[in-house]
Amino acid sequence: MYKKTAFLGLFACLALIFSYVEAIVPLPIPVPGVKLGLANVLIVICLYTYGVKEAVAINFVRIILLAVLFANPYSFIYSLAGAVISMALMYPLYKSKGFSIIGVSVAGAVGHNTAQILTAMAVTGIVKLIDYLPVLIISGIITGLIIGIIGRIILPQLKKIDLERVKS
Amino acid sequence: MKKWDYILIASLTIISVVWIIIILRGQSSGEKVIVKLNDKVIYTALLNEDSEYLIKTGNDYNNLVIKDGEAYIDDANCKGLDCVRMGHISRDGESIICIPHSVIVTVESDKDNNIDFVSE
Repeated sequence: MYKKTAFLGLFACLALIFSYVEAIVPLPIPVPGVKLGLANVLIVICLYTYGVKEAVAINFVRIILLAVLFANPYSFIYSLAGAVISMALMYPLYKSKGFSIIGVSVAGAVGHNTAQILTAMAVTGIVKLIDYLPVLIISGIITGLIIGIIGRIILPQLKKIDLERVKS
Repeated sequence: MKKWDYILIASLTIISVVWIIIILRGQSSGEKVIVKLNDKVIYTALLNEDSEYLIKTGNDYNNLVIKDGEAYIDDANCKGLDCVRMGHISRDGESIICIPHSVIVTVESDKDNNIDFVSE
């Protein structure tokens, strides 16, 4: 139990650091709003190792801490919407067993981007932003693929450690 | 990767590519540049005349440049500078949007002018 708590804390902490690094170092791509979404590596891995409750929990902790650290209520709404929609898509796909970690991660990334555009439309009232959605779907496919591949590499290594039974 | 991964990725790619093609095909080149602040038109200019306009509200600014039939934001003090990174626009319906400053720069064709001004 303690070990699980410690590991989840570690996951949340890493996810927070990834988000922070991405916030201060933007990708050198001339398309605004495109992020790699490295934090999602941790969320997807948590979904596969511990389960959906734990994945939602560390994501929520990450978003709250980000909001506190950067004190930006707008980005809080955006990340929360992204997290909710992306988990709402990833969980059924993960459960269905028809998808690998890559499909799950692509769905999460595309869902996250879609949620961000919808939130931006709701916040600004600019309906034209919808024109930007297909670009962000494609970027979600690419970043989701990268994140999924990273997850597929890391997951078997983590399973070796056997998170539940680490001897202290 | 499993079968459904490929189906998911392929269908998402096809949908977005078709969507982008539809958006691009619907755009002919425009003639007028319209600047909106908080959804109100504050400035209009012709796309074929080189000019510069500073969109300013309080301490916020975005500098609009119209040059060689293209409009772009070359400087601004918003966070992230997404409006600068959105690049050059020249086609009807294209826009540059600065979310933090609530500024929208759109290119429109002359034909629709009356309709657009009625609907403002």
